Amino acid sequence: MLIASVIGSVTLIPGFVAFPLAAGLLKSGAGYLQLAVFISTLMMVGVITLPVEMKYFGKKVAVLRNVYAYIFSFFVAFIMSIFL
Amino acid sequence: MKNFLNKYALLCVMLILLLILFMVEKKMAIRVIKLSSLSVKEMLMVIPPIFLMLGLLDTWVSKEKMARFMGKGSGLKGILLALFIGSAAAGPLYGAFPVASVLMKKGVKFSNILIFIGAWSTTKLPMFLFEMVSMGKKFAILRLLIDIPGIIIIANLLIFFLKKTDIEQIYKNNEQIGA
Repeated sequence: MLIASVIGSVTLIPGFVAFPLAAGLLKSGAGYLQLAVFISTLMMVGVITLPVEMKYFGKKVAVLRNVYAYIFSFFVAFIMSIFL
Repeated sequence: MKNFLNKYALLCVMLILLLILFMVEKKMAIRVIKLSSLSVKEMLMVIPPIFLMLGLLDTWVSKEKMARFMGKGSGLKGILLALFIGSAAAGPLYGAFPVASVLMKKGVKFSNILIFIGAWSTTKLPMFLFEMVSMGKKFAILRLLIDIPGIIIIANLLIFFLKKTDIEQIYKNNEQIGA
């Protein structure tokens, strides 16, 4: 899961590429838990877009938001694993 | 010239790395180029329309109207609007930042701005069908349901840890961007 989340945080894949990619990984045997973390961090955490975010929101908010989003992604994965 | 170098330093470094990669592992370099051009294409398709829309928004919707619907004291209305507008957006997260900037200039409450960004990044309604098809109905619906309260909680948590002066500083900074 850690690997999935780190990759998700750093990458900047277009959405319509990310979902088929995740679906493909699912077929290859990746777990729902890991994929949930991957997709969530992919969308919410942007390590590469941090400089831009900091320009608009200032360092504190930008970093904090990404940190929270990162933690939240695991939370989402755990809750989903209960139902899936 | 120095200014140019400063702005594009990172790009130059990456291009040099790409060149090196091309000489060492040609196939990989070609994949890198393909993927990068996909991203660039997406950005080109997404950013100009957003800025156009922002220009219209900026001139057509008055500050008073914005403040009434999403500013201080707008309560549930503001939250729902922020969620709704954020979800309608498609495209990458960095597209949200300019929109948020304009919203801030119009006096939208900061918590709603954060909710807006949260919604833009996660709920992505246009992509929802696509997500259902590729990851399964359960996955998509579950993720959406968990995300909505999550976004609101994150937004409020962020505000909780910020000082009022920090927030005012952010608004002031945005007044200057593109003013």
